Amino acid sequence: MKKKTYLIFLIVGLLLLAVGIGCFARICAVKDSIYSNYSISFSDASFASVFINDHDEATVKADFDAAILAAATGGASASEEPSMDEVPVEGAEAVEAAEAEAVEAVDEEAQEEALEAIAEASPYDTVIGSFSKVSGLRNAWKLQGILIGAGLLLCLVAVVLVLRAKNLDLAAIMRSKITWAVIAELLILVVCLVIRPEFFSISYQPSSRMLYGNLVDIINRSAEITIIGMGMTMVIALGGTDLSVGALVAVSGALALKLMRWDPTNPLYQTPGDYSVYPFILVLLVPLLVCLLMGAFNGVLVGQLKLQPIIATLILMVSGRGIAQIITNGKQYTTMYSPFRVIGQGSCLFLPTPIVITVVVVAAVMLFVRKTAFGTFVESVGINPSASRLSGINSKVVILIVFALTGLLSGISGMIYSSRIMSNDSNNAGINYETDAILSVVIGGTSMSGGKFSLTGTIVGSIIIRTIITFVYYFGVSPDSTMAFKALIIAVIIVLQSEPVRNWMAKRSQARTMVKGGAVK
Amino acid sequence: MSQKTEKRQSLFSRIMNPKYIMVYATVIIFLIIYAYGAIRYGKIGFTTLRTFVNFFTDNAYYGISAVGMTMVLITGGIDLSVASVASLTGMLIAYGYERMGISPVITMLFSILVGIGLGALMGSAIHYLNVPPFITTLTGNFLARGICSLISRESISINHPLIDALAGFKITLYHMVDGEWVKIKPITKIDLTVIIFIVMIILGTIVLQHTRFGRNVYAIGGSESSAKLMGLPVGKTKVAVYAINGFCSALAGIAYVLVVKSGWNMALQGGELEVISSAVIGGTLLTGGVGYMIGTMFGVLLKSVIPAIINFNGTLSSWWGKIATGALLLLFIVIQRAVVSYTGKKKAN
Repeated sequence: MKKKTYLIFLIVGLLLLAVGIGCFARICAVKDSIYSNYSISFSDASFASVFINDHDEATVKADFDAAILAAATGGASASEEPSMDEVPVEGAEAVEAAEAEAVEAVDEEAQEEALEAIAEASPYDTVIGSFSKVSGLRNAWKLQGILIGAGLLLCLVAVVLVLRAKNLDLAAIMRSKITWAVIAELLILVVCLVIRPEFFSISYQPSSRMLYGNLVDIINRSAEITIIGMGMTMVIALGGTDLSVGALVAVSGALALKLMRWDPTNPLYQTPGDYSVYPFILVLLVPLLVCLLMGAFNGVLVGQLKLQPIIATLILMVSGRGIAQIITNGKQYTTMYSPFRVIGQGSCLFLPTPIVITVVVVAAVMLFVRKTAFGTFVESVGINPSASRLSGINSKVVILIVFALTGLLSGISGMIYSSRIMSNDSNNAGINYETDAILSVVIGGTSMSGGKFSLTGTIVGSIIIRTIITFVYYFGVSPDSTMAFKALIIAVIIVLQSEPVRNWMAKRSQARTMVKGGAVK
Repeated sequence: MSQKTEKRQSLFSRIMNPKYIMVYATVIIFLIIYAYGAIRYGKIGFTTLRTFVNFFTDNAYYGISAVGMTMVLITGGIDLSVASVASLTGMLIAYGYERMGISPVITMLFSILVGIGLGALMGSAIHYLNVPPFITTLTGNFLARGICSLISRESISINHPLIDALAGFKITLYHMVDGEWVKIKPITKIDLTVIIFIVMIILGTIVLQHTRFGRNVYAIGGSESSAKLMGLPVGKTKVAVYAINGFCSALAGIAYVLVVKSGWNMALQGGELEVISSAVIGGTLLTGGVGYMIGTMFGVLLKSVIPAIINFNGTLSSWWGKIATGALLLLFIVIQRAVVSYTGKKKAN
């Protein structure tokens, strides 16, 4: 328990520190760009408003641009208005160009008027107004100071705890696979921090009541894999793999959309619906139930018929997408139904809903597995099926429950996925989820040969995979090529985690502590 | 198992050896499905030789890859990188000629070297670092696919006389009518890819059944630790098997290029599972130690028969093909399971 406490303190501290530095870097970057572009000084509070929100920043700037152009050229050059879609920095450059043109075109008076107009009708005020509604977030400077301070404090506490710990088994920590996963994750983040500190900035958007930022996005987007990973961890602990999860994601989405959109009495109704044909509770429950049953089908094949899990689940992997196509009759339904949108895109407790769903699911699974004997059953069946049968464990039922649970979790994940795109996509929904889930389980330290498993490790694994993707996107690499980077980073992690390397590391650190101990004595 | 006793057995008892029972199950299922097609669609040309040859042509590239995959599965491993290595081969050939002007002969040889090298690398990671084959080859899959996308994200078509010549190389079949050689009607042609496929199956059979290397492969699959204790070169054999598989995937990539005459970064997506399921339908056990090339060949044929029946039907949509493949897989595995438990009980008795 203690070992975990240090790690959690250290990681949370480091993350807070990084977020603080990221916010600071972002504020500096924004401040610099505004100073250089407008040569007007604003109070820190207005920067706070910039800090809270990426999106508003762009619109505010666009307003500014419009104001400058309108005042400078009398609204004649509407065509030169910089486009709203442009990235803020590029937009600022365009403004500069427009300003230069304005200087050439009209006399200085008009320019002064323009600047006055900006100063008077500053749209920043409205932003600050909305911003001040959120209590405690009034001053960005204060906030990032608090973040950096808290981060430093937590790091310090962790270091002090580590130093004061008497029997800290460094070798055991080095031998643990999760340690290496966490180190890998932190290394990726450190690289991010060095190259682009803004990566870590987190902002609050009042309009959608959600925190925004790359870190939030990583956790948000890893939700599907984390949820599936909970089931996959236990499947792998049983010594098998479940390849059908991606197909089940497609089936779940197809069923949900069909229940919302398919109206037998009115088959030609084509407009995007902001309603649901069947009650929403059915839309939620039927896909989950069907996925549970399909998972149970896998469980029967593996448990009762004793088929090899890879092949048994390959059946549903191959035919699952076909089933999803048949459910929707090959159609791609779309919906505008707002309660459904909440699942994937809404906010809950100032966080995107998928994060909250993930936390609830993970907590439920952990309670079920670790507070009952079920986790131990799974491990014992994974280690030695015949011995556990002799000791009175009904391995068939354990296998059935694990596979059915994985099916259910894939169903939940499918609902989140289809809610994100507000549509069903039988060919691409959940594609490669099975490999991502298996990878996150393995990176998290669960052995493919079955036995002991770590749900926490799986969460770390799925976050690592998402971090790599977000990281690579952030630095502007094309989505197709992310695979190469993913492969390289995963290869490094796997080599670090491989048995010979870990043993070597553990031996080295053991030798070092022994030498140290000897010197003290 | 000395050779003398085997030679003394009659041909019949040698063929009816219970160890081939899985292969026979595959052959029988293939014949049943073929007979169904022949009865239903015999009038519209299902029974012609051309249709039969097309079973080979349709999935020849999967078949070539399945030869290497069978060996990997017999050692108890798995290789998920085959499809992306094949796709990488296509991309190398296409990009090499169309964008850099390198002759396809050089890029073909180079891509075969890449395949062998990647296979050997993965094999050594599996053996020496003790990483599960599933994870190692999955990483290899991502790597090959990622490199493919780094080279080009667009499909590149190949216009080279050599590729055209190889793709156009076909053997027309003749038969004797009244003492004269006449073209079989409808005109039946055997592609180069089919020839490679069959040659690879024969080579694979020879390597597996009649060489020391082949016996090592089976021994490792049966029990790796026993093989090690017996003093067999486990590490070398495993690395070699993955290298051979890399060679087969590169060759499959070349065969695929001959079919589509282009390189695409997303080509053959999901092909690795097609290949694995072909081998498994052919009676190869994923746990290792059991499997025959001839069974794999029938596994590949089975994979072409079902789409053929759907095509001949004409009214079934393509997603029924997916479900049919799944159902067939289920049927076959259940039969396999029943056979294994039956023979197991018989042995016990």
